[in-house]
Amino acid sequence: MGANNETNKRSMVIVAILAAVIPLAVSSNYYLHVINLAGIYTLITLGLNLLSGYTGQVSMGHAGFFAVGTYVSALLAISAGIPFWAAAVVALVVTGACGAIIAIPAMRLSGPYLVLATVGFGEIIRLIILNWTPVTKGAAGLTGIPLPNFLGMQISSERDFYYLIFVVVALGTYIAYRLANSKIGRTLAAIREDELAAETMGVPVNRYKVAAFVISAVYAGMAGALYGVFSGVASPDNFTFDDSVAFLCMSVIGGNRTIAGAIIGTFMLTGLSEILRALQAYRLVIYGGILIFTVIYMPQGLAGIMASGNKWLAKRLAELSLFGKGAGK
Amino acid sequence: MSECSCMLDIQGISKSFGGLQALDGISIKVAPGAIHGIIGPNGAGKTTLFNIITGLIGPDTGQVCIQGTAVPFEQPYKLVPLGIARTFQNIRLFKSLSVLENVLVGQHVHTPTPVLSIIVNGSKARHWEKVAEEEARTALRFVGLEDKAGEIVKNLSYGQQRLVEFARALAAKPKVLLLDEPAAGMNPTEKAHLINIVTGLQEKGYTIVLIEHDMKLVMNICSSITVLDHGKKIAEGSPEHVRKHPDVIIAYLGRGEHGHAGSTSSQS
Repeated sequence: MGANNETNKRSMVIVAILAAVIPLAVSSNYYLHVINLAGIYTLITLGLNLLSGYTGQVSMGHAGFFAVGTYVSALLAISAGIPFWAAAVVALVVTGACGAIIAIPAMRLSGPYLVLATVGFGEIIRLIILNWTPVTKGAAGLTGIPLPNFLGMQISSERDFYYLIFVVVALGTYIAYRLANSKIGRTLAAIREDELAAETMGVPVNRYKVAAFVISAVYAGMAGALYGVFSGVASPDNFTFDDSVAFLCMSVIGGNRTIAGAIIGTFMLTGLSEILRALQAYRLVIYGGILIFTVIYMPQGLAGIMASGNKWLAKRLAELSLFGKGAGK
Repeated sequence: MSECSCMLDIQGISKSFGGLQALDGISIKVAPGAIHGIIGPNGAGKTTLFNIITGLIGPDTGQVCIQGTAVPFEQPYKLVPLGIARTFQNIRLFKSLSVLENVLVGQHVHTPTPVLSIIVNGSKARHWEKVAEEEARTALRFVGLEDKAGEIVKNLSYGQQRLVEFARALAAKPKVLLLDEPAAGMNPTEKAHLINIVTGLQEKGYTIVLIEHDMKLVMNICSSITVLDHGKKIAEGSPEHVRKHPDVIIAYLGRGEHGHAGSTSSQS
């Protein structure tokens, strides 16, 4: 356990350093843009992993939370001139509340029924945005979302955004990691495995389910707030059912029962979707194919494959060094 | 509420499902430190009674008290703090978690960790996690599974899984432990081990209520027995008393051709 923690800490530091120098190495704004986008999506997937992977409450409506986060913060900034950080906090509160509302049916529904309820939620949000024209500008969408400030500096270039998003994602990853690898993560997993047994062991299951939905929604809300200022525009087209499905694919393909899985899956699929830009119309078909392959051949996702690959490698290396010692004698 | 020196006081519980009267005015008092067996033919209402005691379903009438405190119905999670823990007839473990993690869940209510402390990995979180792990390992040692702590539960044998469930219930530090057919599917060696564990728990001061079909086991370890049939209590008392009770013999073996009970002894 202790050694494992040490390795984890060390790999976190390595990742942090690598991440900090990426913008120096990547000169192309296009690549930075894709990385930034993947960073934003990572927040959504982290929340999805806590909700779907750990707690077992599959959501196909996360584009809805994402949209609420974007629109609430953007509208506050555009119409009331509220600074980004304050607007983001309000957006988190509102998305959290949405999470609590969608958790109410989740207490009674499970499996495919819950999935349908979340699909419904996502569509309701999209339709509200589309039709509540006086406020949301409908299909035309919002434009001119003001750029955020940080300590008096305006964040405007891709590189500025990279660092902003990096800090938020790092913090979000850390919190998700702590939650997942603690009593809370264990309790959520127990609920996923057997609600009734968890309840009989003293776990207030409904309270935990609501908490999981709220946390997950808040992650998507934060992603939304960043997305608004990052892209400067928002329209209902950015928050469709397809997007919800794509988020779920990222989560499952990366490995939804680990925190690393969220990051791996998101970056892989976001990158893939850029590579396959010409085939944009077939994006979900391709995702679907990968998803089926994942579910059948690597249920732990890419993160699971990498973990067992690491173990395998470590074992081979240990054998080699043993062999080396033996030969040296 | 009448003061009662008993640990568990079941008062006039009735429950019907549609037209079926599953339980009809059942009252049972279990003394502290007892091993109380609840037996009866299939469909007698044993599991329904257990589900009511553990709050999974609510009764039509009646109440259950533990040390004089009435337990709430249909809110199972409130029962562990009152001192009730159970195992299930068909094992209900968290299958893809490790043995230790399963047992740790039993410590849930005893390790109230603030969320903030969990996020910053503060001293409280680490303290409670350590306490929980010590308790869980003690429970595992007690059932003899300490060396399996890191295994994923679904890789264990059936008998071992039962013991994990047992350890999980123990980690909840109950006053009353409800065991729903603890020996079901166990081989003779495992059963002997189970008997050791249950009697060991009694010596430690736990009160145990168990449903069991293995008559030999029940007669061996129980200090008192209640016999249910068709939702009614038909006999209660010491194993000797119950063994000889004519209604019990009829319930299990049926009436003989000439109207008297089967003359074979209590083997079922």
